Amino acid sequence: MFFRNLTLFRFSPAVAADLERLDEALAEHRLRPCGPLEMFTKGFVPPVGRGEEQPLTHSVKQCTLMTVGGEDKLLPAAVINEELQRKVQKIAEEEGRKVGGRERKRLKEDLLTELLPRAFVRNSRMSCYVDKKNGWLVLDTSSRKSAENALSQVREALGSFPAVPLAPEEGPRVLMTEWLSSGNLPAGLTLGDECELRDPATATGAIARCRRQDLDADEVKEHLRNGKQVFMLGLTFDDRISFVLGEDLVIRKLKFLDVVMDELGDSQQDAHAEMDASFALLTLELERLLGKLEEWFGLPRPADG
Amino acid sequence: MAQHLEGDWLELATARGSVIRVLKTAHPRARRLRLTVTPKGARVTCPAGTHPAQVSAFLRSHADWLEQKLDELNLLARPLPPLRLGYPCRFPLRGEEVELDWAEGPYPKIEPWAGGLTLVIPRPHSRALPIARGLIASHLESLIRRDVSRWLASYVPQLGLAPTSLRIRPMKSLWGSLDTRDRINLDLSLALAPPVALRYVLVHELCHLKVRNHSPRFWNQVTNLMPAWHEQRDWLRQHGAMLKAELDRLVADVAD
Repeated sequence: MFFRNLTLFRFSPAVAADLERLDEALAEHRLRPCGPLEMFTKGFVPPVGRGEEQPLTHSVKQCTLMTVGGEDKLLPAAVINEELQRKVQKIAEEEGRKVGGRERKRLKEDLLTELLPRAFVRNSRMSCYVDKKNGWLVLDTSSRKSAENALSQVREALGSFPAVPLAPEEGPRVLMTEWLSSGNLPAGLTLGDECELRDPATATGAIARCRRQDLDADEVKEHLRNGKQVFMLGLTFDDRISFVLGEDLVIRKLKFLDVVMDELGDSQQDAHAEMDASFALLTLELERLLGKLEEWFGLPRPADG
Repeated sequence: MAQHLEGDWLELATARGSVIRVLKTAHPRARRLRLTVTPKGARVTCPAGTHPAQVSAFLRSHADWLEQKLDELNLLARPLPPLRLGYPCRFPLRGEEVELDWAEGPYPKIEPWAGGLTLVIPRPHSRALPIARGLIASHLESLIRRDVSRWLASYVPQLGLAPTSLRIRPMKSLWGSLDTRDRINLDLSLALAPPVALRYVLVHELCHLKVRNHSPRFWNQVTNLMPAWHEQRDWLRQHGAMLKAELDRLVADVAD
């Protein structure tokens, strides 16, 4: 349940008020199973439990959790091409003629209808939650593409959902480089043990990635002295959460340290109660962290129009 | 552009007696002769196998136009001095002429002050100039991001639509673009232009979220968000080439 990566978007109070109808909006976009001749389906699945009767959202206080799901058929192009090749060869041998482009295309379409019902279906799930109080949309992914896909899913369901990508007032690259070179981090933050340093040149820029590295060491400083800038930085917040912060403000490798996990306890009666407890803990911890991010990097919440 | 750079330079004599160098490139997909002027110079593109006489006749008949366009680009008048380590220079920043100064320090750093920027570079250093260019590029990018983030916060609720992401990089001839996945791209040299010009480009791209063409309906949308957009478009048309040339001098091919 705990999120591993965070991609963030922000929205205004008016949009937050509009999210009250999230439940009914999502109901019309429930994930249906992939039909025999469909390549994929997309939709929302219940965040807790399985089945039609389960609700599609799960709210704790001002935060609402939802899960974007998808079913994709696994039909590699190589398999189709191989099969097509075989068919074409068979025709050439039996009928002694060449197969033209148009016929080839038709054969390929026939093959697709023949193979699709037999293809495996792969399920995908991605959780996200909206914090209506502070106007955050938090997606559990570090990939921009899947974040955009999930966001357009939500937009489709709601009709309109103007959530903006993060546009920091302070350049994260500049600020993180400053943190690493001076060692002066904002209160509550300490350096972790990994970073990615890059020359800001496009194609020719050198990249240095360090893992399990003391970031205070001279070799790291030497890279900075040579003009490299911090593109990713491992950090620990309040000794409770550790993560790797990217220059695009995507948080990766998010991990709640033992102090936090101990608070959760382990005596939960059922899935629902366990979900409630961990989601409450997650949102509470992240509310503090995101509030701080807003303060450090200057991430204004959109105002009402 | 880069993949078609093989070509030769033609020399064209003008009525006024000067000589203009024109890069001739053959393009496999070209259908007709095409003469273009960019801050990098003039170029004539022709279909493969065009007779050289045809090209030079074409150039001669358009020599006046070419000369006028190059004048407009200020290329003949004022080539910019290259960026040099340790030599202070002046450049436009957010529409105002500011000073670029150099200093020494333990780590590369850029320090903004009221009338300009100071580049702090550790010395002695063999790669000082690329470092300086990298610093300037990231500083300019952060300036644009700061402005845009403030404006986005107010425009997005007005429009009810939002871009999925924002990229800032040097662009060759455009000021901004919006792609099919709703990502906005902005030209890095807009950091040198007055903020209101940057604002016009942002408004323009945001309006493309609603209307994906340049029809009257689109321009109505732009007028709604920013009534005085004409001035800014004219400003960019007039001073644009200068901005791009300045940016090229400052960051060359460093920024991404």
